[in-house]
Amino acid sequence: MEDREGHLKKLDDNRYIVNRHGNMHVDGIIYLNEELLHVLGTDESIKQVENVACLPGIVGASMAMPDIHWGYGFPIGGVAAFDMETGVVSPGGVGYDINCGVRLLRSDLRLDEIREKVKDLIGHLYINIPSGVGSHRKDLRLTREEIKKVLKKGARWAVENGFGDQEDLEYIEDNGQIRGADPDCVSDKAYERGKDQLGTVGSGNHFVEIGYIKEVYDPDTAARFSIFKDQITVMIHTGSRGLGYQICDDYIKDMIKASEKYGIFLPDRQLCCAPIDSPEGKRYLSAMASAANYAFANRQLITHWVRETMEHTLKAGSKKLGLSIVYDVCHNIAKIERHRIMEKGKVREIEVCVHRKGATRSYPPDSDVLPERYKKTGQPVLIPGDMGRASYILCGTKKAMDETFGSTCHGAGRVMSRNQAIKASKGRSISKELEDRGIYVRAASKSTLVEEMPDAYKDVSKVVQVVHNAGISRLVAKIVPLGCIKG
Amino acid sequence: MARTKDTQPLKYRIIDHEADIGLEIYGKSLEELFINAAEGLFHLIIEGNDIRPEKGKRLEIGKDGELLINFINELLFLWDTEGFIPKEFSIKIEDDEVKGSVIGGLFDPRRLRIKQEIKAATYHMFSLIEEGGIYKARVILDV
Repeated sequence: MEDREGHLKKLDDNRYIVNRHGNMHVDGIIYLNEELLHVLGTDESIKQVENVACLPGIVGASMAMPDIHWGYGFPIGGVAAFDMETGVVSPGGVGYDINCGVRLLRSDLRLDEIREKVKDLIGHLYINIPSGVGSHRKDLRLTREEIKKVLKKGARWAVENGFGDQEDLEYIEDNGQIRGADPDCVSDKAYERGKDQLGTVGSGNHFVEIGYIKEVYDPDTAARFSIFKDQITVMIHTGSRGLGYQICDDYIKDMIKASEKYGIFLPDRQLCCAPIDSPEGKRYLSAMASAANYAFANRQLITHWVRETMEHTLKAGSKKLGLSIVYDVCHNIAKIERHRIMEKGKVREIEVCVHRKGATRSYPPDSDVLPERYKKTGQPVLIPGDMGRASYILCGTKKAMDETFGSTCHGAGRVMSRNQAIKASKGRSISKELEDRGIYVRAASKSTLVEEMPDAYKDVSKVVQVVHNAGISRLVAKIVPLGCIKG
Repeated sequence: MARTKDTQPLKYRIIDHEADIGLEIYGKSLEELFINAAEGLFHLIIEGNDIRPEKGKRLEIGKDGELLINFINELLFLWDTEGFIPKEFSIKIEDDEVKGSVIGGLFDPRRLRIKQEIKAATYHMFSLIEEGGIYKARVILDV
């Protein structure tokens, strides 16, 4: 790994610094150990950390988590906070899949009760939950007026319409409804794309996965999260679908013009942005909140169908299954939050716009926004891995508030491009390999299965070890997959 | 201009990008380059080539940002909302606008398979140049 002409230096075992140079307003801080730095392969993603550091009003540092990889504009795994008065908001810093996120359901089922039924369960989930491009439930078609309500109310809309319980809302980031959503800031095209896609998993790395708790590292916190060894879990990974992609595309066009209008220097046009307080900035944040709410509603509908499918397939009532939400986290989002920053040797608490592009909020104990049950532990942080290895439950820490604007990693991060994955899989049957390991996969597309094969990703265990060792979140439990449905 | 092994001019090449995927597209005119971009795009999305000319679409795409990106994202919109796959274009590019029409088919799972979802064409590393009468563009797609 080239050291970027001497600018990249090791800070400690889990962090590297890119010293401020050129047009950078702040340093870059990358949470990585030596092993993962070597896995990076190219230094394009580090260059992207530097590019973000050039944007106006950035505070603290331009950061990246250990699942960093080369994205478009911002690196995947990037975290950047901007001053509300001098800073900017960038659609590219959120991404096309606005509020792509992860939801974890826990159950009262144990591994030995359903091991033999996993294949059957996966088959039924695949029928009931639309996955893959173009698939949707025939029984859910929404009028424009109804979609407007979804954009305003998020997961609350789903619960009010019979998809889930009131209690579910308590265990979703922002209670499943980001404030400030304005359906009038959403284009006709975005409505058109959104009308058939609510309650769909989509394609690519999105999935619904049945797993079990293989190991518990922190029994007290796990007990607070109602997690125990050998427990069956369900993880849902999806976002705002075509509605979010369209909103991002619409606003990137606006922001390219706005960047010129406000004289903002852009090292990469995909970083186009506008002052947070400008009409363009405010409109984007209102449209982004609308897409984020659509994504919360999406995961809520899928949760409902997971419950229905499991009750039907296992012939058990909802009480016996005990399928409840551990938490639901966003990992592609911009949020207005209060944070303490160090300025000229003094600590100051200010409001900032935190961009998390492939990064998860990691709020500590005693955070006002957490449900009562998690006030002692910090928020559950959900980190999905690839479909063959493991996923992790962590919890938020005070150190994350001190160092990373309350943020941590979001997943494994790719290590092979899609083409490399296709080449590496020649002559192999990925689904057979997984089945031999006791993991049943139903995928709408064979290509998805190949491109998303486990070897294409970094080992998520190594990623979470870095954030745990760095103290920006703490390991609670490990989930091992039993089966999943993919697009 | 790059050529294939049998010396046909190359229409497009797939670029390996770590998280996403890219297209390098060629054409003797802007119109040809845009049509080749559409072919490359749907080569990434669809498996099979039995696309029947069933439906016509008028195209009127303006330059608010980059014309080629808008063109690709318009095709993605038609694909996402109707399952529309372009087959024959009749387009003219003038005054930073694409005008014309396209005839294409609707996705039919009995004849075609979906390879992957493409979310959008991005501005990251975007370029479009003309060299010695050959147009060449690079677009990174979010997948």
